[in-house]
Amino acid sequence: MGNTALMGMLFDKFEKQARENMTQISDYLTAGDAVQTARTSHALKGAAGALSAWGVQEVAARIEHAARAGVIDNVLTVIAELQQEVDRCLAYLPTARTSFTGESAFTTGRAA
Amino acid sequence: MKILVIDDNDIYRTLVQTTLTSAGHEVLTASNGYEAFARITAGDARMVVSDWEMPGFSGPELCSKVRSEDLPNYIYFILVSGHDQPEERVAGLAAGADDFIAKPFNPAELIERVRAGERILAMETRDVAIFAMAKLAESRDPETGAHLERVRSYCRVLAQELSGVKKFSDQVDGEFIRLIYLTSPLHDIGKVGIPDCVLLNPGRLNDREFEIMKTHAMLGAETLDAALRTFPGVKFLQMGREIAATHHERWNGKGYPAGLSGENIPLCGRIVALADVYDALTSKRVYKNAFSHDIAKSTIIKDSGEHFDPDVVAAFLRVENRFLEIRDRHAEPLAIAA
Repeated sequence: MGNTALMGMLFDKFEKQARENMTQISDYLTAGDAVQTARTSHALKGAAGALSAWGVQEVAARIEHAARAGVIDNVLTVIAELQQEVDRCLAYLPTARTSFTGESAFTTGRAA
Repeated sequence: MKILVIDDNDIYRTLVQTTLTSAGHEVLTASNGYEAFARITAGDARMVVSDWEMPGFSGPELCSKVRSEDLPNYIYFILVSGHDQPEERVAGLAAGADDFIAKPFNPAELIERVRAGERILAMETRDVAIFAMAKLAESRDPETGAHLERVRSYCRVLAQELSGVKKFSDQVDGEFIRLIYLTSPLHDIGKVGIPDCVLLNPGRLNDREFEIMKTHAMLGAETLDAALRTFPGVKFLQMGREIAATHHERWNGKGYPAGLSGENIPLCGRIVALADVYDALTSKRVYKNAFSHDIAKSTIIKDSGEHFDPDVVAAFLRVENRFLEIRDRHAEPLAIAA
């Protein structure tokens, strides 16, 4: 698989995962499930970090940290911020796909 | 060599997999600790690149489980993690991890860390190669059976015991113990240079034949000298050479080939001397039956300060039960021992 095809595939995976994780985090928070909130935020943080989506990564990390500390009441105020970052990131993906040059992004291990 | 990449995150797993595949590695993947553990214990991979946080086992938990298994090969374990706190790294090391790489990872760094792991695993391959070389030399002598396996185990037990003796504590450390286990099978490697008419002589050797047989000590040392000239600092070659050259020396100076005495004989040679003689006494030969442990023990006690270093004999007496265990574990088949 060439680098361009690989990054296209990773963007697809990220788009799917980000939407799923966003919904899951909201549901877990609503249900008061700190453990699952932390686990899902951690997964989203990792996926975002892999693709240099720093905004998503930073907010997801804050939610994970708070959930691990068991203070998810405060997290409800951050969820809107996470949604905003995810939306912003996904809106950028079409641009990233067209502007991406496989060689430069892959050799740094990051893209987008 | 196959590398197992474990990450519940599809994107990271794909990135690591692609990076390693592009560097020419054969990569297997698993998305959780359970699946990974099954693949590792099935012997599917020699190296693991594992995420830290996963459903089921975490990376360190998986590593601990792998380390507690009696696997035939060492598994080189790299933990990939966003955890960069010192206490977390300590936890990873305590679990048995060999190396770490931070997320997001740099592909060039990952490739180099995998290469470093391959060098470590190659050392294990080298250990196997050394033993195979010794077995090859031994294969010309049909009577020796599991001799090498027993001698290396006796040597390790003696070295472990001596490491607790103040007089030897500076010299006998973990590396010494590992090296003597690794290199003691080379003690008779010089026998490859002994003619069949002497080596395969089923009876007792006459004086002339015995003089020829005695040359095996220097022949072995010279063989390893050739390797040492190319790799002068390699410790296993140094110890292997000392053992080959000195395992027939005697504490009283009446051994061969150099007639060294006392502490002029390297400690490794003094240890192998006792282990080799104990095994010869307790094994059957065409010209003699196997002696019992008690007879071998009394022979060794009688030769303390003559043939053997008294400190090594004292250590032997403290660990004689472990000698018996080793002898039983590596007993010859009945057809040979009867």
